[in-house]
Formats: sequence, structure tokens, C-alpha cells
Amino acid sequence: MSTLINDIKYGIRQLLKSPGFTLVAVLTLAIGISANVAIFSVVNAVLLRPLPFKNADRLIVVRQQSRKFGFITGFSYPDFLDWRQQNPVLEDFAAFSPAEFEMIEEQGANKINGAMVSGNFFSLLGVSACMGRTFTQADEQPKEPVAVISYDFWKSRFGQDKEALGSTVVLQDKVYTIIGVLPPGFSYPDTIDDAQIWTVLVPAGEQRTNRTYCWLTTVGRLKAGISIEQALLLLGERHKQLIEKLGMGDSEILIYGLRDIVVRGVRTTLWILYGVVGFILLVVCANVANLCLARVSTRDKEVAIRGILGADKLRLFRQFTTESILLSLAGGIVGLLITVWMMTIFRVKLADFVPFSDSIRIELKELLFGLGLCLLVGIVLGVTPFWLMQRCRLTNVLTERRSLSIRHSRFSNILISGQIAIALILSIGMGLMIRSMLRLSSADTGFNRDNLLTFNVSVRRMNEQQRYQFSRDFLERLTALPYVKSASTDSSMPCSPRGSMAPVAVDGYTPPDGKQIRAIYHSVGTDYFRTLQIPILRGRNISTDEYQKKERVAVINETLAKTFWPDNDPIGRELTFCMRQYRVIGVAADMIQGNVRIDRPNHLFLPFDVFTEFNGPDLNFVVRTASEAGAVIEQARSILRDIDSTLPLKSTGTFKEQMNKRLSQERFTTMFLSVFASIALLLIVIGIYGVVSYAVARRTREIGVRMALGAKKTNILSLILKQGLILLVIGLITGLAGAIGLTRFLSSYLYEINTIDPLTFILVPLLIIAVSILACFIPARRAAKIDPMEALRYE
Amino acid sequence: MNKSNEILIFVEDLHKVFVTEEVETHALSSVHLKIRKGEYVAIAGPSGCGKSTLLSILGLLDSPTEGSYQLNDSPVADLSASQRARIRNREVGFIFQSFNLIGDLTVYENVELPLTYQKMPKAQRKERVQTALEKVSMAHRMKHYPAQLSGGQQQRVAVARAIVTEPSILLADEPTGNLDSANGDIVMEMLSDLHKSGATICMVTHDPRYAAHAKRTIHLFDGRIVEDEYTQSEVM
Repeated sequence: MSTLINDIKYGIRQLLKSPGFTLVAVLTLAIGISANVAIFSVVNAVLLRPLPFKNADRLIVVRQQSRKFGFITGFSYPDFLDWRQQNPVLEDFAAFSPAEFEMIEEQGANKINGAMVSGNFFSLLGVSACMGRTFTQADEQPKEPVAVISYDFWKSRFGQDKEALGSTVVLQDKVYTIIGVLPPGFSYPDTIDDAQIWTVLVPAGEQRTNRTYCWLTTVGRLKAGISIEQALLLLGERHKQLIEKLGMGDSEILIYGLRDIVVRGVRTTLWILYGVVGFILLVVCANVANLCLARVSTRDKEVAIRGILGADKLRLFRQFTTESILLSLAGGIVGLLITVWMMTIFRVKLADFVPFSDSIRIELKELLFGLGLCLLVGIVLGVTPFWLMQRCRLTNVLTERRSLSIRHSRFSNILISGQIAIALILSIGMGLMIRSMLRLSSADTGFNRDNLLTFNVSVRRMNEQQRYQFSRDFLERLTALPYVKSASTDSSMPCSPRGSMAPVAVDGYTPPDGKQIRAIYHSVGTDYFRTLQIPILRGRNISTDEYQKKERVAVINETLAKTFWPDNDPIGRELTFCMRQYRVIGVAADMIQGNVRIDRPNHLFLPFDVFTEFNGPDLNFVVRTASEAGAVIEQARSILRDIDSTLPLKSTGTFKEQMNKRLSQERFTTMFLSVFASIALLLIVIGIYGVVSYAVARRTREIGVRMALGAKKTNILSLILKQGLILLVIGLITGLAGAIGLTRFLSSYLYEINTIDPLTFILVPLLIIAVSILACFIPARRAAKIDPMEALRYE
Repeated sequence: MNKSNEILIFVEDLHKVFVTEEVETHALSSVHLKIRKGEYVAIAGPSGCGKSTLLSILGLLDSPTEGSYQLNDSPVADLSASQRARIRNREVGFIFQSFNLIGDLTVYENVELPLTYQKMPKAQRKERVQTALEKVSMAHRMKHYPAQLSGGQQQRVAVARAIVTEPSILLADEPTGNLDSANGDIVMEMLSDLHKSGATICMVTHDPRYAAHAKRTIHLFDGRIVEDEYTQSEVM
């Protein structure tokens, strides 16, 4: 024990003796360790930590998929009841549907995210109320409506007043009694993670009886000992029998683990991020190992003396690792502060696309991971100099000979080449992602997304005539605003990824593969094409007269026109949509629906006043402004208050913002790669500079001899540069090979960029060459300025 | 450190060849040597004659290419590295020309170092270090670092470090080589005192003045012992 204390005391003394080395090494290690701990905390929260539900590993999500069209749907209410009542493999089965409640308060109506859940939902998850109670199956019987609220909602709306229990809230014009408050932090991650209010699922009418209306999401708990594969086999067979018996469709069953379905969109991203920080840790270790080597090469005599006095290899190993572990622990402590800061950023940046981002935090497991990492890094850093030192001949102490420098240089060179290779891989990854992001942001969407504002207004309580009148009045007053160029409405905003789709048919047309032609339908207001600046390629726009006369006319996009009438003019032809005939009057240019990555879909544009069947509870407005005018939203809100003070203006934002949300995963990955590739570049500059500087110092006498023998400054400059360039070439070749192998993992993120993009694979190595030459040049120039007389006296 | 006629070092037909890529250098050839407990032996000879190589082998820092070497009646030529380290720690005390104190350790810690490798209890270490430093009159400087001492003082600390483990033999490699004559004389006096109190000493020197302090002088030339000279009182 006292030996360990002595080693620690000596190690601390050694670190304090070289404050410059210690500072650089600690900060470098802090970057590597903190990045790894931070990403581990994300991976742990999202992929590893058990979900906070009872028997979470047995929770599954069941969905149906159409064999013919490939659509994935949920369950109808009658199907759900059948499955819940008699199921051979599930202990329990619950259903829910996301809901956007309009809550009437004194200040007016507000939109609150919520969910309608079956009575057994909370008991299946094993979640109890922290105050009051949750639902039971008895609550599914139509009687007095009840609701449970989230802890945050209780805090913000009721100030944590216990009187909240038994009080009422008005949702969708119905009075609900609050019967319970859920525990703090509770959220269900599949589609309703932002729910604040839960009501009992009590469907009525079609929703209750129609087996083709598959609107429910489900969650079940497998019986103990039943695997997902077994469940799929048994339930698949049972489902097949049921649909055959009812003569319904051709769907099959899909079963996913709850966590799998929630994290499937981010799993690859997280492992890529983990890979990136793993690479950074390697670069960091190589860099600090190089610093340690340069430092330790001056300690070969000390090690030999210790050996002479009786220290065996194990003892020397302990000495070295104690020192390096002290160094890495110091890096870990500083890194912990950086981790806390990084996690604050991660929680915000990841919230858009990573589930459970609220639960990203440092707990015992993260601390133990950090400690383990420090010990591992410490041992690695200790082993390297020990390995070199233990081969040092003890007799060199007697002869004053040094044997370490050549071996040290070789090892150091390997480390530098490795760092260059890793920096190149990360930088190429960064280059690909940046190019892809540039293409994504400049991709042709089919409409002009600049200065487009969107918001919606709940018109659920209005009848058709009132909606029509409201939309006319509101649009008229909106377009009169100074910064508004034009405005319109659309049931499926093209900035939204979810457009409503339905089959479209044309008499005499048979799809070649037998599959129905489907199109995203847009119930649009007047001035729609002008507002979005979608070009009409043939025919014309829907006229005001046609709006007023409610004529059944349609504008279709180019892709749909080519599908039905590849060789003929579509203008004036008829198509069938939702069992009604529409006359095609125009062909618009193709446009995306929410995501530029997806092939341009079919679009069908119908006049708002004609196609009323599928108008939802909200009216979606789109406004073309003269600039990015946030003020327009306030003015719109003011107009709305003037028309009806109870109507809330919801989901405000620009088209760009809405579309950028879909790119948050790519944007974060690009930012992450860019930051860490830059750190890697900085580290290789420091590394190369250090190695070449060390070589210059070691070869000072040799340089003096060369100069005495007539070498010019340029000869010395090229001599030193050559050493750096050899490392560079080896690093580049290894890095390019690595990049070709590893960038394929980025393929799903890249848009119109090949994983072996020639421009990136040329420009990035050139960048690395430039910074490396710069790093070599400074010590090389110093070498060229050496005074031969001074150098010959140098020992 | 008792003085007796027991043989402490027994070397027979010892050879040491250094092989580089192209050249074989015979550093030592057919060396036969016996050193008894309590002897004070000087190894003399010109530069490159193999003095330091012989001392390295005697101190288990290096291995012979051929021949046998027994220390305290035990063959030591083929021991493992850790066994050699253990014997070095317990049986051999080294004194170098350039002192070889560890600059980042205090005088006390330098002297204590070989004892820590023996895993000796702290209290016992303290007592031994104190005694050793008192013997070389450096106890008052135990908290100083080597850089704060003169060359002579550093060599006295090196002597204290060499004797603190109470080794069977002290190996000194040009112990006065980096000292002025006054400090050189002090160190030689110290070694003589240690010998008088029973220590076995083997010292490499090329200075006949200091070799004269020893009771036996071995002359090396081109890796061979060319003369083994005893003073009258030491002839066995």
C-alpha cells in the first residue's frame, strides 16, 4: 500500500514538474473521454437502459401490413377487443390513439397533446398514479368522462394543487373529471411521448364497429417464456384464420419489441456517433502516447537506475501505469465537466429525433463507464512507454549510451500515421455529410420554400358553410396585410411528411402491376399555386368562378398525368376519386411531400369548397410573405382574435423550419462529424508538429555535421519535411482504404452523393496534406536555421 | 558484512561477445576470477579494456556469452530477469561515476528506493535510511533534491543508497570520476571505512592513486586479466 502511495506521490510530482505537458495531455484526454462518456450516456439512455415499465423486455407492438400494397396499419377497435379477450401468447393487450385536445380555458382554446387509451393501458405498463388513480377497464363503459394528467401538466396548470383531483377540464367541448396524476417523468415513447392528458378510449359509430378502420396503435406484453418469433408464428396463424373467416383483406401481422420500434430510426445514427467518438479516443490516445513517449525518452536513465536497484518489470509497469492513470483520471475529471456541458447540448439537439432524450443523464453507470475508460486509457498510455523502456539495456547507465530514441521514433511514427488515417476517415465522413446537406438544402422541391409561413386554425366546431365563410374572411384580411403577398389553404401541406393518400382511377386504364394508383390529395383554396409558386405546365389553375360554382375540377401533377395519359393530353379528361368524377383542367409541376429523399409522388389538387369529405378538424393556411416576417404571425393572431377569440392559431412556423425538422438527424450527424473531424485535424497538427520537432531536437548534432559538410538550408528543410511526408503518405493510404470501407455506413444519410464521392476523396486528402505540411514546416524551418557551430556542441 | 575467506564471487572462463550487424566484438575473453568476502578489489585498465563490461556482469546487469558465474555459491548466469532484479536488490550495491540519483526524488527517497522494492515496512525503511545517511554524513540533507547538492554530496548519497540494503558486495564504477580531488578523497575514505567495517568492494578505476586504496588490483587489457596483484598483507 505504501508503495502505491509512493508511486502516486511520485506520479503527481512528475505531472506537476511538466505543467505544459500535463495541461495539453489532460485537455486532450478530457476531450476524448468526455465525448465517449457523453455518447455512452445517450446510447445507454436510448438503447441499453431498461424501459421504465413492468417487464419491459416482454413489451411488444403489433401492427398489420397489407400484402398487396405494403401499407402498415394499426388495429380496428373490434379487432383490438378480439385480440385482448382471447389471446394465447399475450398476458395483456392495450390500445391507444394520439389525440390533439382543444382545451377551453378562460383565455380561450389551447391545443394540448394527449392520448386516448384503453382502460388497461397503464396497468399493462405497470404504471401507477402518483396521486389518485389511473384507468381500469371499467372506465371503458360510456359514463362520466374521466382523464389523467401528466405530472408536468399538474405542475404547470394546477401549481401542484392537490385539489386538481376531482376538478374538471373541458376537452373538445366535453367535460372530463381528473382522476389521477401520473408519476414525474412518465411518458410512453411510441407516438404519444408528448401526451399531457390521457382519456379513456370510448369510440363511437364507425370507429367502434368498422373492422377496416385501423386507427389504433397497440402494445402487448408477451407471456413469460414466449419469444417474439413464437408469438409471430402463433398470432400470424390466428390472424390469417380471422381475416379468412371475415373475408377481409390480405394483411399479415408484424410484431416488434417496444424498444426496437421506438429506436429503429436512430439506432444506426447512435452507433455511428459511437464509432466517431471511438475513433477520436484512438486519436487522443495516440497523441497523448506520443507526448508521453517524447517525455519518457528523457527518463530512460531513471528507469535503468530503478532496474539496477532491483525493480522488476512488474514494478516498473506499476510505476508507469500509476503515472498514466493519474493523467487519465485528471483528464476524466476535466472531461466530466465537458460531458455535463455536452449533454446539455445533446439533450436539446437530439430531442427532435431521439426518443428518451429527456432521460440522457449522468448516473452511476455512466460514471463507472468513465472511470473504466480512464483506467483503460491510463493502462494503454502506461504500457507504451513501459514496453519501450523495459527493452532498454541497464548497462547503458554505465556507458552513458542511449538506445531508446530510434525505437521511440519508430513507434511514434506509427502512432502519427494512424492518427492521420483516422483523421482522414472522419474528415471524409464530414465532407460527404456536408456535401449531402448542401444538396438537400438546395434540392428542387417543386415549390419556392422561401418566405412561406404556415399555421393552422381549429375549425372543428364549424359546419361546412361556416368553414367556407371563415376561410374567405380570414384569407381576405390576411392578404391585405402589408408584408403578405398571397395566402391560401391546403389539407396536405407539402412541407408535412404525411400527406393524405387515396386511390385514383381512370376509365379504361389498368395499372401494369395490378396495383391501384394512389395520389396525395390536396383540398386547396384559391391562389394556392401562386402562393407556393408551383408552375402550371399545361392547362390552367382552378378559377374563382369554379370555386364559387363548386365545380368538380382537378389539377394533377406531371407524374400522375404521365401515368394515366403518357401519350395524350390530360386536359379535359375525367378521373375518379372517392367515387366521384373530376375533370382535369391543369397539370402542375411535380413537387415533394415533406421529404426530398422520397421520389416525387402523385398529387391531386381539388377545390377546397368542393371536396369537403376529408377536411379535417383544422384548416391549414400557407402565406407568402415579402420577407421572413415573424410579425405576420402576430398580425394573423390578432385578426383571428378579432374574428373569434376562442380560436387558437396553432403549429406556426415557416416552411423551411418545418422541412428542416425532418433533417435534424442528418444535421446533427453532420455537425457532430464536423466538430470531431476538426478536433482530429487539430490533434494531428499537434502530433505531427511534436514528432517532427522532437526529431529535429534529436538530430541537431547530425544537422550541424551535415551543414559543416556543406548542406544548404534547403537540403536541411527537405530532409526534415521528408520525414513528415513519409508519415503523411502512409497515413493517407491507410486512411483512404479505411474511408472506402467505412463510409458505406453513411449511405443512408447521403442525398445524391456516392459514398466514394470523387470530389470529397480528392479535396479532403488535399486538406490533410496542407495542414500536415504546415505542421512539418515550422520545425523544419527551425532546423534549417540551426547554427552549425552551436549544433556541433549540442549533446 | 563479515570478513572471511569464503568465496563470494567465482567466475570461470567467462566470455562476452557483442554482436552487431557486421562486427563481433570480444569484450571479455577467458576471465577467471574469485573474490572473497571482505575483499577490496580494484579493476584497472585502459579505456575499452572491458572493465565496465565485467562490472556489469558481476552486478547482474548483463549476462556472459559463455562461462560460469557463481555469486554466494549460487550460479547466476542463467537466471530470469526478475530473479536477477531480486538478487541485485538484495546482494549488490552500485556506485556510479555519474551518481545516477533520480532527480525527482529527495535524498531520503533516493536512498529508500531499493528498500521499497523489498517491500520492507515503512518504519524499518526509515530506520535503515537514517542509519545509511548518517554513515555518509548526509542525514541533514535528506529532504533536499539531488540538484540542490554538490557532486561530492550526491556521490555520498549514492553510497548511502548502495549500502542501505546491506548488500554482499559493493560495485563501484569510477566512483571518483566526476569529482574534484578533494571530494574524490572523501569518497575513497568512505569506501575504505566501509571495507574496514567488513564490506566487500569491487571498484573499477583507471586512476592508480585510487586503485592503491584497494588491497588487490586486477589489470585488464583487451578483455583479458593480465595481472592480479595483491598487496603484501592480502596475499593468500
